[in-house]
Amino acid sequence: MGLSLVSTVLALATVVASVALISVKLAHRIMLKGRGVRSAHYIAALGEMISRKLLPADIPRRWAADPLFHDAVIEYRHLLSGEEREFVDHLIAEVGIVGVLQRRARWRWPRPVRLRAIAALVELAGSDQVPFLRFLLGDHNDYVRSHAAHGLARLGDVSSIPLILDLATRVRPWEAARLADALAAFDRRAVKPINEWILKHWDGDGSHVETIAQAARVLGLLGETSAETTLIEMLESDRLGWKVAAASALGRIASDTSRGALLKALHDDSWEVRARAVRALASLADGSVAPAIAELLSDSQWWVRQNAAESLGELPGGVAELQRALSSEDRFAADAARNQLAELRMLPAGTETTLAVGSREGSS
Amino acid sequence: MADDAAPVRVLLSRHLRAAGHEVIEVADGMAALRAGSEAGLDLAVIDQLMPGMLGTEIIAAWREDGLEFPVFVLTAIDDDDTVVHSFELGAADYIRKPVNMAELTARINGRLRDK
Repeated sequence: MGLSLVSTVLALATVVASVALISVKLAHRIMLKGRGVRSAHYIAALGEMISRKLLPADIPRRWAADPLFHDAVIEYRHLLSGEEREFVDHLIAEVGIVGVLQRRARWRWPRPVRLRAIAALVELAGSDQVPFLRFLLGDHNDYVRSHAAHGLARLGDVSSIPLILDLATRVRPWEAARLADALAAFDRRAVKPINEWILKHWDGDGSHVETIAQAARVLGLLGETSAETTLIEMLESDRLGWKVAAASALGRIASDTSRGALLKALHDDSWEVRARAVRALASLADGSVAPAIAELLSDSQWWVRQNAAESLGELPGGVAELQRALSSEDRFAADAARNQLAELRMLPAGTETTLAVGSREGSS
Repeated sequence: MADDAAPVRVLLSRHLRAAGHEVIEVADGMAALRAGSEAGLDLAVIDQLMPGMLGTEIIAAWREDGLEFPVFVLTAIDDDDTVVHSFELGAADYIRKPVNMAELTARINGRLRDK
């Protein structure tokens, strides 16, 4: 009797669970279908308006509140240039999308709504939204802050650069790196304010050290020679993080002015600096530095030897240095050269290849 | 007209139809490949990054099959290697997004007039 009751209850529970699962799946499918239909409707309607450059007076106000409509507008805005892009911007203003997004980006809205709104706002905001985006730099949410920085970069508001760098000094490294990435989205007009910010905080307290290194990375990404003086000073400083960032940045800028400082950095006490400097010198494409780089094939650290071999493979006259190193008494140098020549398919026939691993100091 | 982004298909096909052309729209690489082989195209506009196949792979397959109609590559990819590779495969033009649709339509019209 008891066993039969348990079986009946289990069977009923299974039926109820199955019906509930099917209902949820059905509801989800209907919802997705509804979203797909709505999205296609917006894309078709916007296509009609844009191709005719005609904005109907009776656009439903609810469109301005629908994230799917925002997505469609963003897609068109990314796609178009010229008059049609201007029409999309006119449509954004007329429909009042930015006002809706600004309201939703405020803290009182649920997190998913806020995050979606800020992501759309960054894409659609005009220069009149600069004060609001600056306000969002002070938000409690790191996603909102870094998106606000990207929005300011998209709008090219260079006067926000010191604010973004100041913010980077107060946040965790991950967010500081994202803020630096936002700075890289500015064009070369960002070089001067970044440079000035670095010099202003050069002798400051330790809280700016990491951000200055990030700023140096951005200067390299922007590739502007006017930043070289600052970067060379950083390379010659006694802070490891600055030296590493500056060597990499100078490699990206790849100007002859930095040759002397980079050659000097080949003899730095830190292998991290030597490893970056040797790659940076390769980007100058100047064969006269090949002999100095070849000396690093005998470096105590595998990473430096590897980078030296790679650089020689790229420099004019570098292959001759690699071939010379094949007969070196230093097995580490010979191995690094042999592996690089094999990579370049320039290894003399019958030469044995080996994997140059490990360190003379046993700690690479 | 092959692009997985619906706005591109909607807007460009509107411009082309308004200019008097018949347009076949597809949204993925395999459909584009089939359309090129079966539909007797005068010209194709294809995206480089689509589900299924890359634009350059599609051009290579068409050329291998002896299909020589002009192909315009329309893409957001701003990579010199892809541009060079597209032209090496025989692309007629390479247009980067964002794009001026009126200008693109004029280029297509010009190319079809020259045929």
